Amino acid sequence: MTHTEVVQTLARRLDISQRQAHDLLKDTVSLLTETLSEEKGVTIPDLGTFGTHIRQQHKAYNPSYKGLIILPTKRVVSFHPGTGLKGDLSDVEVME
Amino acid sequence: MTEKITFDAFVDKLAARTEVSKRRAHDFLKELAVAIDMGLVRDGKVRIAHFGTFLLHRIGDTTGRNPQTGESIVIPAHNRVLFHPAQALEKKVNREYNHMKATPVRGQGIPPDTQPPSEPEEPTMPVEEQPPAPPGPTRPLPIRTIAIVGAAVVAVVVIALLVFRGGEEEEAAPPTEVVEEEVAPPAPVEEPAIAPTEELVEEPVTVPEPPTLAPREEPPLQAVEGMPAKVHAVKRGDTLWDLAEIYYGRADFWPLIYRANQPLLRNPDLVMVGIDIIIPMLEGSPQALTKEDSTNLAKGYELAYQAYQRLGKPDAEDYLRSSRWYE
Repeated sequence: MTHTEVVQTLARRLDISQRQAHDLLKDTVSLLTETLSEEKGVTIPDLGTFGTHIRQQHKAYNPSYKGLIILPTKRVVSFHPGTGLKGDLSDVEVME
Repeated sequence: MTEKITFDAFVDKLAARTEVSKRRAHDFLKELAVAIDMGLVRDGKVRIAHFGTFLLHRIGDTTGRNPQTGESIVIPAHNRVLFHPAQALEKKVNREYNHMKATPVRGQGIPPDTQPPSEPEEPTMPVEEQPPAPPGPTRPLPIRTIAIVGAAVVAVVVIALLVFRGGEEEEAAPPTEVVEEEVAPPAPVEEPAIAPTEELVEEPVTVPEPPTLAPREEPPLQAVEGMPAKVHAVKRGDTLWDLAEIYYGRADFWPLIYRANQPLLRNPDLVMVGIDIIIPMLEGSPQALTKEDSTNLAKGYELAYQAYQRLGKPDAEDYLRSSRWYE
């Protein structure tokens, strides 16, 4: 499902214009981004929990150098799906 | 995860930002969850621009163990929702560490002496039969020749002296000199902005002590490992890239020259006018490199990589890749 389709779905279900749905989604994304950039997490009910954590420096194999490289410390986004999502999806076939 | 803000606080912020009622913002977020859920069920994938992608990942039956009884149990197949943050989000979240780059572990790659393993690999990728174009060196290097011993330094010394004397008339002179220097590098298209700053950094250092001409005697003494070599007196406008083109017919062999003049040349993009540069000759020919030539090229590229990394050049790793290529 693409971004546009998400907007369309939201507009239909909330009975608002696509423009409004688009703006709301855009603001949600920027607000989430800001929250995460401030190293804070947030839980959206039924969707899941967004947060960040530090991934420590570690070594990994890089095939193009044929050798180990040291990957630097990085702050990464973590997502834990909420039960609302998980429950619905457990018996959906994934097409790989 | 450290701290969290509550959903209510999030709704408040969203309502304030979009200028809608809290009720509406709340409903919107709830519906967003539903929409993403629907999308996952339908496509197994939902993309939100500039935020990320929600992905359904199938996990097959796995055997687990009940930690209390130690008994083996089968964990039935199920799906897991993954989230891949978009690059924009990743960068913003990681801004504290964005400047850090991956670095190779010393001595971890294939050491140069283990030739056998690297050779059989070449036939496996005959598509890349154009060895002339390993990743890094294909891009012409705007190696700047900087007049340190030559006219520019003389000019700068003169300028410096004039400025020190505080003559007002003389101060009119410097601009013309500076202009001349800036006109000098017509070739570099890539980083004309950086080169002038290097110039500025470099010159004040040399100006106070012109006796630095002394090291000029050293390079010829530097052993070139028995290879026959030529000597080239650097003229204004010379670059390692050009010299390699002239002497080998292959501009991308410039690291050979760079390596042969090692203690003297630090920055591969900076060659001083007036110094004598050693041009090592190839054992084979540019079309048919001997093993020795390849090794030297690999070492040259590695040195170039180290130098560029020191200088913080973003594509430094390309040179390491080239080095591996010639190994």
